[in-house]
Amino acid sequence: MSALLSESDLNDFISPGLACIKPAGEVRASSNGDKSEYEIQINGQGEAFEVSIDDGTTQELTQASISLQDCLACSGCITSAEEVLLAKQTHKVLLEDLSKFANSKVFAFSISHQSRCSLASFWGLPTYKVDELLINLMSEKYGFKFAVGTELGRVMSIQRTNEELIQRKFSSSEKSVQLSSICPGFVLYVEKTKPEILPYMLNVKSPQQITGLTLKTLISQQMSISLEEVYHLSIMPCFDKKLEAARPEDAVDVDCVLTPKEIAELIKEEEINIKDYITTKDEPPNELYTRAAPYHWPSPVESWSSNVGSPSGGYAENYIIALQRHYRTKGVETEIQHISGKNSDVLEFRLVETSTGEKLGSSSIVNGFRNIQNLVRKLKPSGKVKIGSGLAARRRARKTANAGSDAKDEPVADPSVGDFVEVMACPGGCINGGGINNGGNTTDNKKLINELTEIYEQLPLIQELNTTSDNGIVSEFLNQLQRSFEITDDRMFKYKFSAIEKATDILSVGSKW
Amino acid sequence: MSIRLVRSLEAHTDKVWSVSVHNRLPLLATASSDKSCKIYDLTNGELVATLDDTHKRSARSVAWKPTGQEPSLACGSFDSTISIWGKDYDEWSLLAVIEGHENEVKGVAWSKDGYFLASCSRDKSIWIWEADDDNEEFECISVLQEHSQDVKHVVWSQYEDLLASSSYDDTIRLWKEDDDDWSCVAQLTGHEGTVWCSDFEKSETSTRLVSGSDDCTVRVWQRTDANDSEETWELQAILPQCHKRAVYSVSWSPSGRIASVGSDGQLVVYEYQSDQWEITHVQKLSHGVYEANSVQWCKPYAADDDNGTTTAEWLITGGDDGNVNVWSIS
Repeated sequence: MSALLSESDLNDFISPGLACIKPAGEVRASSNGDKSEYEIQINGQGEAFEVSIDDGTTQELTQASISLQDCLACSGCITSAEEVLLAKQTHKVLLEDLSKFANSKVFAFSISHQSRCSLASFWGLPTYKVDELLINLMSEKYGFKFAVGTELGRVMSIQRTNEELIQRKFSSSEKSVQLSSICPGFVLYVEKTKPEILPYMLNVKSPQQITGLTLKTLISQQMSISLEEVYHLSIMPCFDKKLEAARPEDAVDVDCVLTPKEIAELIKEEEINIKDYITTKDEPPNELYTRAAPYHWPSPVESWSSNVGSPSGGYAENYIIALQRHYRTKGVETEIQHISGKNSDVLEFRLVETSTGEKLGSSSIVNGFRNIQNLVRKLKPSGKVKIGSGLAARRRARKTANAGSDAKDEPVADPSVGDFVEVMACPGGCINGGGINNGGNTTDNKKLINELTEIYEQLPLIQELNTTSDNGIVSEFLNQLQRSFEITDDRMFKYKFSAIEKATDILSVGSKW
Repeated sequence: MSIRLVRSLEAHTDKVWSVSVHNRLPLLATASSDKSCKIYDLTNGELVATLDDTHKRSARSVAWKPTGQEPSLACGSFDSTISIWGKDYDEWSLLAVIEGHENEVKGVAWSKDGYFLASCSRDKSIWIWEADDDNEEFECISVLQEHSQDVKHVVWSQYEDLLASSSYDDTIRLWKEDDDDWSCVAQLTGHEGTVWCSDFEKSETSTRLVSGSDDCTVRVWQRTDANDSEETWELQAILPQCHKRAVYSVSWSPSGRIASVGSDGQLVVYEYQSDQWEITHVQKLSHGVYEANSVQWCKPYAADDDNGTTTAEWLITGGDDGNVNVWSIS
């Protein structure tokens, strides 16, 4: 376990439960049949032994271990108990895998925008220098063969989201709001504690998963190896992405997830001099981007760019832009209004018809647990307050009579009645993920978010990887990829969500207070 | 000086967890393991209303809203919800059920102007809700998760929007609004066991807090420095020790007295006299052989002797015997 990561550093924002309650289902491999009696002893080194009462023979007991898959299937805590999250997929595990699979696997990594911004701030380098450093370091020191940014995966995720939302809006009779599934913390929260919200989840995969499948597919083709022989490291701004990578849907698209915190720790522990891996050139390493990507990767340079919208990925804003475009093709002129919510973590994008002012659609950003709470409470069937004896109606009638004409017409953001919500568990969104490197300084978080947001906004914007176009190079590439490699739509884009049943809570039995 | 039982109300068939007295009206509310809340008229001890058929488990905590034309209250339950009740057209009705906590709600409290409702739970979090005037819509404006264990109790200052929380993690934390969220401005450490309860001094000029704990002590803390994001609090005194078991509830009276009750069934009153805290009253077996869970000061709603004088202060206690006792301290 990394010394850098202490309990206080792990901020999932959706709070984990108490200690891990997963029963350790270790099968006891006793050789003495089943009738013997044993007692358990622990020696001075803390190792556990099983001692037979009949003949005094001892046997060492295997330590119980909990995998991330166990965490996904357990309702004990919302995201993983911290020790589990820390023990799996650390930079140590990466180093072990690198030596274990040195001759049997081809290593590739992808890195998210927020992670690059975090490292840029941590090392005081421009983002493109961080890219250059990581590509060079991973390739020269650790033998990685490929590297990509996650913008292509994000564009595919955004396009798919927009397609499904617009199709739903105009063809389906079901008009309820759809919630983004990009944030694994929120997804787990819903699966584990709010199953009644599952029908609202738009199950389009995140850039991490889409990037993983695309990367593995192209590399396996180019190197003439199987998908399993490609090892994909994903560098992401939050620890819950490790859980997303361990989801049971399909084959493994992501083998290891590291956060910027862990990358910085790796570099420190391995005593790497970052200057050895960067040139003095003061420009984006476009040639390196191209060289590092698989041969058929579309627009490798722009995979390191970004798109308009929030630093979480801009899903809400891009939907509204797509909807505006849709109306424009029908000859309807519209404008997008930005409507603030109760706090800085709620923002609505509202599309209104220019001539009439009529609301045609809306999407919102909802970040942070407190705002998620208000959203899910409004969506929950019983979430509307229960009213006794018609009292509320009488009150309201009285109030309306009193209020007269001074009703407010200032619009207030209400994400629950829109078309789509970009939901992120962390206040501030992904730019404030739990894996963002704060350099050990947790006190001035707001300043750090502002700085990282500024760095994020300086990323170049995509040109040819268009998020809204239907016939751009992305759709063309995607068609070809899915056709050539027989990848179904469900495999490429769909999560399979299911409610995770609550275990009987042992702690509430007999608790007096 | 004497302590006298004014009245004993056989309020519930099971433990009484919490009592609350309205700040203006002679109304007493109780919360019990029998899943109900009851409302009594303190002038005559008569039952005004029974608020039941709502919670699936114990009603753990009850608090009157200090504002509003008609009285209303919040009740936190082990079933993880908070119910809001109010009187309108001479009828007590359920106005709202607030869901959000993962499990048992341990405490509820209204801020001085009734604008905020705070709740705390075994899920280790404190939630701050913004209430509308009708008590019908509640919006969660903050979820505070810094306590590492079960949060037992929350209480607001009467003079500013400052919240104190007591926890199984042996600490007390103080919370204030900071930009558009709430944050912890101080942590009081020193208790060597669960802190069950705290209460602010009723004074506009000094800000102190009294706390009671599993370590059998009652402590007084003083704020010595404060800015928007940080406060300095110091332990000012450990009150003379009298309780032999956990102290479950403490209350600070407008006249400056402190009362405590606990697992040993004792009701203890402390006064600050000639530069130190002294025990002025001890009522052993305040609820027979049962534990006393909750204590609150209130003004006397009846003459305390045949001459009609009302110099005393009243204390309300609730215990495991299901009774609510009204005491006069003079």
